[in-house]
Amino acid sequence: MIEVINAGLYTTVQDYPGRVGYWNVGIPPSGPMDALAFRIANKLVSNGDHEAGLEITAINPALKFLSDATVALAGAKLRGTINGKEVPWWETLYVEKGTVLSLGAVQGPGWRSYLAVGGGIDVPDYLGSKSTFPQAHFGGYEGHPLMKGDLIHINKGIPEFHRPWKSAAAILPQYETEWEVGAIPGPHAAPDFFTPVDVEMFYNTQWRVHYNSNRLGYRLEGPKPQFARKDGGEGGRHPSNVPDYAYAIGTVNFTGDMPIILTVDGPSLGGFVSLATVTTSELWKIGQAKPHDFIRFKKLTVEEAIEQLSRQEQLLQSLA
Amino acid sequence: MGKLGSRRRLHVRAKRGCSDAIAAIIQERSGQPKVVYRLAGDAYLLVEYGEMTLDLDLRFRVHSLEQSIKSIPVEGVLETVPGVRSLLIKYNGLQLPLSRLLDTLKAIEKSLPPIQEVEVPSRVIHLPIAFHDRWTLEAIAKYIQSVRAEAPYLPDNVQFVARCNGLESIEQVITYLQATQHLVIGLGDVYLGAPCAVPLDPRYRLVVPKYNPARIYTPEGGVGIGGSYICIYPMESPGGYQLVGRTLSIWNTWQTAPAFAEAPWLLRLFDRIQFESTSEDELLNAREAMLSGSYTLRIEEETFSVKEYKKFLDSVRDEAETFKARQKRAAKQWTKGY
Repeated sequence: MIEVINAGLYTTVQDYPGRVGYWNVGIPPSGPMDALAFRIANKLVSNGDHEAGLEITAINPALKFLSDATVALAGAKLRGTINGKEVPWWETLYVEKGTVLSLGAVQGPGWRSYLAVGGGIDVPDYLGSKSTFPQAHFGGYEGHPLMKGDLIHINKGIPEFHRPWKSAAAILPQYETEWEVGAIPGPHAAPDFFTPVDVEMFYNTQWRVHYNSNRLGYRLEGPKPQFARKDGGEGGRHPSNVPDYAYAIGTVNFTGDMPIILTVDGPSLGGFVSLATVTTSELWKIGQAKPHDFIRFKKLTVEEAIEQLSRQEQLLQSLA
Repeated sequence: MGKLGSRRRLHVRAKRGCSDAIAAIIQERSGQPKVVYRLAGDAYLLVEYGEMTLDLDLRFRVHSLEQSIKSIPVEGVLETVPGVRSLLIKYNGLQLPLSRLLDTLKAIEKSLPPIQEVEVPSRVIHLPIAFHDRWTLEAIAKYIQSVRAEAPYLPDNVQFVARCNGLESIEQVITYLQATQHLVIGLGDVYLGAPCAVPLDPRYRLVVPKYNPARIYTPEGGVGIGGSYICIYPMESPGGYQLVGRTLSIWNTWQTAPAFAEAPWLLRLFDRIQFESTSEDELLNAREAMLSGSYTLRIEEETFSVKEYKKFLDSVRDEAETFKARQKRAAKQWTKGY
């Protein structure tokens, strides 16, 4: 069991791939914003991919372990010590009953950190997932981000200390403050919805991450597009309007003039055009982009994206 | 190899003069709408039908495609999500390459029935609604206080709906909203089974622009109009539709009421919502009774036939045109400088 001594800025229980299968009724998958770091953390404690862990945003909670545990920290590095030593990142860590894991704010690049626990966090499933969706008050720990005093149960799995020590040093993702993110044109691009100049601008711009960015979406500050149409026709007044359609996770949606990358807690249906969509293997970078970081999109084909995804999956398998 | 392949594909696209966001196009042919296969990343494809108009025919085409994909089923396809004129297909690109998915979809397209022959199960759901109620008026008051003090739709959204549609009074808006059934063509707009519903009778199809900027607060059960869609808010949330009333809960997380025995969401695609005016007190009673299980929702199981609907549309064509013209004149006047 883990006792929450201090909840941190925004710490939630998440699992991978989250609450999938309900997009058609408007229930988002939730799950980790950086699925890559989350999955690595799970592998470091010899968990299956689907076991629930914690997503920590920027400021760490203080957690007291009320039983022995095998844990792993991954994602954005937070400064801190455990038993007088620097807390190791990206490797298996054994903690004894009574240990308090207390870390500071995020140091350097990256925005979200992940804590996996051997056996996984034990909260009830809601619609097949343990992921928290706080907007609707379900999933995770009683439907909300962790709060001081919460007691988190851990599943019993393989006995502790029988989980082998592992390190992800060989496959560490590169964290930046200026991110290059692979994206595929569409579903709406030039010449029907945007001008060729807009499209060129989109891929050449260093977009600045707006402070009002979260698990629903990442707002980007930059130039305004001209749009190819004068208005949205029967879809609405603004040229960014179209008849409502379902959004892909990671799509770069223009709500009016401002692009928003729709992420794991975002809406499923809406009536705004999307110029490009972040590729599956690069979506983790959005989860690690912090407010005021920069994002530049790199145009990829589907074939290139699938090749990258395949390589990433192979790397992950090498940790298994 | 992937690179060579993609370069060749780009070349083909350039020759056709279409965007690199489009994977393929099937042109319109006798009785079959145009199909555009739009890329939505490496895990989704957006199949879009017809032209950019609110044509219900296209929604039924989307349904036929979705049914067909489900009945085969196509290996590697993970989820499908319908929109107004499009279907989002989520697939596993490692298992099902885009080219093969496209071939499969094109083959399916040939086998789809003519739209006129489509019939779908459709329940008529009678929902009590308190029009112009204290809860939505309170939400508007909060908006005026904290977001925007003056706008064409303030301080009374229903009044704005009346003006924009050339109606004389709030009472007339209330009459119009009960004079037609509203067909649910999308779920989850926005979140948790929220219906995107269109008025079936064009003589009563109210159209109104949305808020700008959006509200921070909307009561759960609030009913709004945005464009020509009706929405019911499943939870307290931000929102942009013009609020006209409040109805029952359409989402129940723990499925504590019999109406939610099958799922936490109440509505299904192609349900027809029939609003029935009630007082605020009666609504409160109904909402409580629904939770305790003592309220029985009136539901009729029927089918919806595209052919029959066409016949109906033909029979009211002139009246619908008259209303549309009046509506257009009013909208011009009342949404000026919006």
